[in-house]
Amino acid sequence: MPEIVFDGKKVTVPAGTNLVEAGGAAGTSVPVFCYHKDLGAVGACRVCAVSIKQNDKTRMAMACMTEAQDGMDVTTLDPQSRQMRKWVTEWLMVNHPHDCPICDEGGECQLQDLTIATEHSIRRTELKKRTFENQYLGEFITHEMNRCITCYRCQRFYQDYAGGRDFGVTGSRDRVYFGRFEPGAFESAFSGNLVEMCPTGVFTDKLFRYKSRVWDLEISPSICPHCSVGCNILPGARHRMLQRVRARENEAVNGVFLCDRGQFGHGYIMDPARPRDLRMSDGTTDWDAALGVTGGALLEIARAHGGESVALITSTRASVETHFALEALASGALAGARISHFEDADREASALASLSALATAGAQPLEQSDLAGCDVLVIAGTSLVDEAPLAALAARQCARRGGRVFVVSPLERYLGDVATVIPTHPAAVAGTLEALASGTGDGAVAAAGKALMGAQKPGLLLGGDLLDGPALAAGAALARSLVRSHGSSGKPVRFGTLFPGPNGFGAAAMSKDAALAGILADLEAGKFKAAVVVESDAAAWSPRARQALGNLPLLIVLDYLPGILADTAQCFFPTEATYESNGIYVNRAGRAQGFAQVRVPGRSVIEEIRDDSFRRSYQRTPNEGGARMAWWILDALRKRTVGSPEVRDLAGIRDALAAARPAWAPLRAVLAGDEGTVLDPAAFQPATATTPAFERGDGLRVFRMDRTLGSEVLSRRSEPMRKMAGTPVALVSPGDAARLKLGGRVSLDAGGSAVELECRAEAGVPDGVVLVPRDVEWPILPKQGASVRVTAALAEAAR
Amino acid sequence: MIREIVDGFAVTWRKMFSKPVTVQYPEQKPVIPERYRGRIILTRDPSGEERCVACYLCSSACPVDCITIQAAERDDGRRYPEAFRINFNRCIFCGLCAEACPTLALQMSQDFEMAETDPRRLIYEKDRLTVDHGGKYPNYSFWEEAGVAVTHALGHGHQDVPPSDPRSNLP
Repeated sequence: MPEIVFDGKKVTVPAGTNLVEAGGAAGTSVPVFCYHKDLGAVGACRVCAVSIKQNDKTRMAMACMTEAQDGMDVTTLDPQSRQMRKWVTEWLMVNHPHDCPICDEGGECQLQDLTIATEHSIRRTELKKRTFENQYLGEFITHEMNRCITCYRCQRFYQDYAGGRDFGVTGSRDRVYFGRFEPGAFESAFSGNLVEMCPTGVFTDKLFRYKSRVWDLEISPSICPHCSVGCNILPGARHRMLQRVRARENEAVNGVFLCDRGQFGHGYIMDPARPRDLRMSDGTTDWDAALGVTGGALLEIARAHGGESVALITSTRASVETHFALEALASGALAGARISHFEDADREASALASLSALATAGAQPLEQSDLAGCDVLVIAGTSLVDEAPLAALAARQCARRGGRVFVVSPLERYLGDVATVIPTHPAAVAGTLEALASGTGDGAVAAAGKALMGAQKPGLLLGGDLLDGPALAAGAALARSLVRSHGSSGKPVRFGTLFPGPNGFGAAAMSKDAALAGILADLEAGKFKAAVVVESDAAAWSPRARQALGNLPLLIVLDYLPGILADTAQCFFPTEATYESNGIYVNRAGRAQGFAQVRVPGRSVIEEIRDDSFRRSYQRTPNEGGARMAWWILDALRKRTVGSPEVRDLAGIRDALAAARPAWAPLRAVLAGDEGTVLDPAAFQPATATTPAFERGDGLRVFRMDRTLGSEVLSRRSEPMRKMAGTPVALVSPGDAARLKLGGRVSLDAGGSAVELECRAEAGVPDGVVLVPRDVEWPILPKQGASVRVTAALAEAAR
Repeated sequence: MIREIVDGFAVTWRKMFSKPVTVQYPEQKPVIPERYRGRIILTRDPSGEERCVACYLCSSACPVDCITIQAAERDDGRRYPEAFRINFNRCIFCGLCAEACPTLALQMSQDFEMAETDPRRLIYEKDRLTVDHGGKYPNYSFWEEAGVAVTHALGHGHQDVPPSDPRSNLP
């Protein structure tokens, strides 16, 4: 532990700490361009020069390249270091364009800050500036190469950290150019981080282009709602318009990174098609009256037909508070109402089984930071970059730090170059996991089993969609056996699963058992008289269930997305999306994290600009019709049906939740913007958690899965996201493609439900598997692993 | 007591025969200095295009928050204010906005005759702010100096050399 003096302050830092970090510990922020704590030091920009006095000699060195040693007296304040910084900044500015007024980086630009800090205001040279052609880099990021100061951060992030291959550096001397070989969209799912990585404005957010200055944004801590990782974000809004999303640092979850889905998938918030107004079939427009009418109608039905004639459904994108408020609605006259916390029966069963696996394994939670810290990591039953992109980025860091990564999955398209991939049919994952536990198997499976047994810090991450019940059980058993073998020597065993949606863990923890399949069957049979559907999508339901819902005497829908449910509801209440409300999501590792309101729902002042001017008149409330938090609406309905007093505030509903279910008591301590609180899955063991095995048998089997961009329910409503995602493509094995002569457009027929889409052979996909993106709309959604007939669409047309 | 009264009226008597200093406004117009901080204007560049690039620096510098802007992008890539509003009810004519303006678009004019009977008329939108000349700097064009290809081909601005070839490894 070397002790050094930094700008007159004594600090002790761990051995191996460089002087930039040591300066941070001493309260001096050493200016840097090329250094980044996650990318490391390369000493390219020369701006972090400091004077070091050691053994009665003074020398100048780059702080990022110098390790702190005992007895160093470091300063950034002497004339020599000041002059050095001034020179470096001046030569970096020689070719920098004079375009700060139109640059979106302005206000958070490190080059701008340092130019001002080093007291430059006049350009001393008459030399002309070199220029570069810019490239089209897709719908998310704008390229402005003239602003580059060659710090190499972009290349180091894109290639080294995120493993991208389609972006790099070319040229020599002052022509060094950072771009793609040919203009075109970035292939990496993490390209959005270039915006934050670049210390100046070479890569800027295309969605935020020319919208605002960063200091004008209203910013609140929030949680990304696009997958179960629960990345911490800072959305920014101005004039009631959500304009951008940036990563918020949380070492336990996302570090400082985000995936493109999270960073650029916010278009649904400002979607013109979003239902923003209260809509009642009797024409009521006043909220209070509407809640009264709705509550009265619900109460009437419950009294006439009993509580069990009411179905209550919500989904994994609703907050914990909403889930609880829906449960609380089922009391008094509505006691016995049927509740499901999921919108998709398959995913409900799988999430409950995942939670049960976590609860019974007795292992430590596998958080993002733990993924990178494992020395042996086994990922099973998921294409990780598609299902939880940031988890895949963390798994890559595990491999980069020398850990061994094994992937047991029918598809792996991100970790292939750093991991040992064991291509496995989804129905066979259970067998492979059992082989890992028992140490049997051959080749890569045996190697993985051996590595796991000998690991110091083993980790096991199970997916969601491509795993069946036996595989989850086998995964839990493997984790248990690892705990047994490693626990005695004190080595931590970490075990995690993925969940659907941002609050999948919360929804599963709130559920008593898997109920949706039964509710939908009874709905088709006409057993329900009323339904309350909260922030859910009916896409995964059978057409008959959807039709039955439309024929209900009373359908109450609370949502912020447009869709068939919102259109058919007799009582539609617009709700606030994540960025507009306060609440808690529980991420895949059980970390409960709070989010706070960023913007007020309603139309934006910017959308209402006409003839070069803002609107000239305003009403006091910004919302036409208004939107409320879903739990608040449910609570108001509860007052009007059950008759209990309203809770009205967030603390109140969390207290009520803690009183009703003590396991949730830690939620009361969660604040938006803090690190979150990890819940123990063992406290939420569901009553039943049986998920059937995937059907086995010959022939092609269809599996729905996520894709990184374009399949997730919220982000796919954003226009640039749709453009970048492209049309969905079914993936088959090269063997099957050759055998059945597949390629181009094909028709998939799963027991009478047929779709037509592009098909491609993908290396690594096992024979007998057809992987179809989740956003493909089937007439009747096939079960995971259902038998499917694939024929070339052209032949179909000819016949 | 009598002495004071006599002294006072003596001054009145003397001034009755000297030249008056009162300017007979509005019949007689006062001479305004060139640097007077009067009504704010948005000027145009030599080609007649609006100069403002909606960088938000004036609205940030404004101590009374009387400027509201929304930036947008024209088809040719030019950044411009989609809406630009100054609320002269609030404006204190301090001139910080004109000082902040990096493109010399926003300037203070010599006009001070802005009195209105309806305060809503003092909220100026872009059409009432924009003038058809370059104000105090008739020859400056931001886009020629900025190094951004909007008014000219890439690399042909005043300070630029034509684009270099990043594929070349020649010295």
